[in-house]
Amino acid sequence: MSVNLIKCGVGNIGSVKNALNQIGYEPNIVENPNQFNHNFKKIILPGVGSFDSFIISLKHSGLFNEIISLVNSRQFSILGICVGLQSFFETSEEGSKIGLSLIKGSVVKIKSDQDIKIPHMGWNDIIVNKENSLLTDIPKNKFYFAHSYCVKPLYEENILAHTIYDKIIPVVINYKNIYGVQFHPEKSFLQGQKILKNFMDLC
Amino acid sequence: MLKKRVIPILLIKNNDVVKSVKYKNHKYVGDPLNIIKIFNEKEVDELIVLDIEKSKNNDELNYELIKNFASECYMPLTYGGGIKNLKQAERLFSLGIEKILINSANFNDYQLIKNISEKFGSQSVIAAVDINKNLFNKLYLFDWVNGEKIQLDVNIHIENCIKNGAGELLLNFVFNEGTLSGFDTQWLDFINCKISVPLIINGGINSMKNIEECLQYEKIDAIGVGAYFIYYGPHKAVLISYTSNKG
Repeated sequence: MSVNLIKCGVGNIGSVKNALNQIGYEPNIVENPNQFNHNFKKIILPGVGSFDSFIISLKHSGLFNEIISLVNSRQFSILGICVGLQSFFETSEEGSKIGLSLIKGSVVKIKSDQDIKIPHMGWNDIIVNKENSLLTDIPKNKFYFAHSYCVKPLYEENILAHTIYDKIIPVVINYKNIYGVQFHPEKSFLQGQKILKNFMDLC
Repeated sequence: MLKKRVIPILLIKNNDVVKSVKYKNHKYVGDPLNIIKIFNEKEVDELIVLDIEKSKNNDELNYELIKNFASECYMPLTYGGGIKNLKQAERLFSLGIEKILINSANFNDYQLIKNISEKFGSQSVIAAVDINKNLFNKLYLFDWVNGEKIQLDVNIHIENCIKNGAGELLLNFVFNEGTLSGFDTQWLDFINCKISVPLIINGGINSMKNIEECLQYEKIDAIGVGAYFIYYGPHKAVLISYTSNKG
């Protein structure tokens, strides 16, 4: 059992692949719909770059519709990382494209009345709102963030954990077989690798 | 709470880690992969690796070496040195580099910052600004490749970098670099523009106390450290260290 790791346009998959190797998985790299290994019931969607450019490359490669249909079949679990998570939502203030719309809600610019630095960059604590196997036995709660936009799910029950950067920012999201993290588990030492491992261990 | 970062900065020359004083007199420190492994085990907040030869010689980047760096790092890794175009940036990101550092202050560099940030997001590009001081202690923008003053106000340059999409700013105080004589937060008094992105300072950090002082300084979001983590004792023996007693 391994995982389909989506390489899409500007996605930085090098470090995700390294982290997966570290926990004993050799991912199947997917650049177009024909490359999915249907025996592997897990999909990881890392993303960097702007919302629109990410959605455009997903569409360009034909992965946009394929991801929606695989996820909707409920036979696959998906983990989105950073912009990968953001792409699960319907719209983003960062652009005009429509996202994968797997989860109800939008992506909004990080705002504050205070004079805070954007991007939200560095190590921040996550606070768990809701127990979930994805977050089991995490050795530390500090994770690496680098983002200027954040997700805003319509339903609060989709938020498994949040962080505080002047205001509350939802950072771990779950809806049915769909999981997402705003931080970079692949760059967050053992606690990050544990999250990837927990995702791989999900039934 | 967002933790302020302490970031080791490694200089690479001929595929070795070296350390300079005021950007000169590069001394051999060790094998980069070994040193990165040590920093990885010490769980450093982040790591910046700068190839100081590539910019000077206009060489193509050593992707094989950079790939090895990235596979040893389970924390964010920034690479700088010799990046001239978007294609190189793209290749670096695919190898597992998180952020790219662009240094120098000409129109092409602003354009490159802009191109990288538009495609990969502003969180993926750091603008490095080299600052030196003259005999009258006046700070000026420094061109490290040619070793001369750049005729552009530092504040205007900083504003240009941010305007073009730099997601982070690294201010190098060249006159103090590698001297282990302490970083003085008063050097930041020259800033009269709004720095809306995280600010990393670098140059002369020499003790835990000095790190603590800088961490408490409001304007500073992260601290670059070179010699202090690399050398130990009065004879400057090489001993890679890292602080652990911080938030």
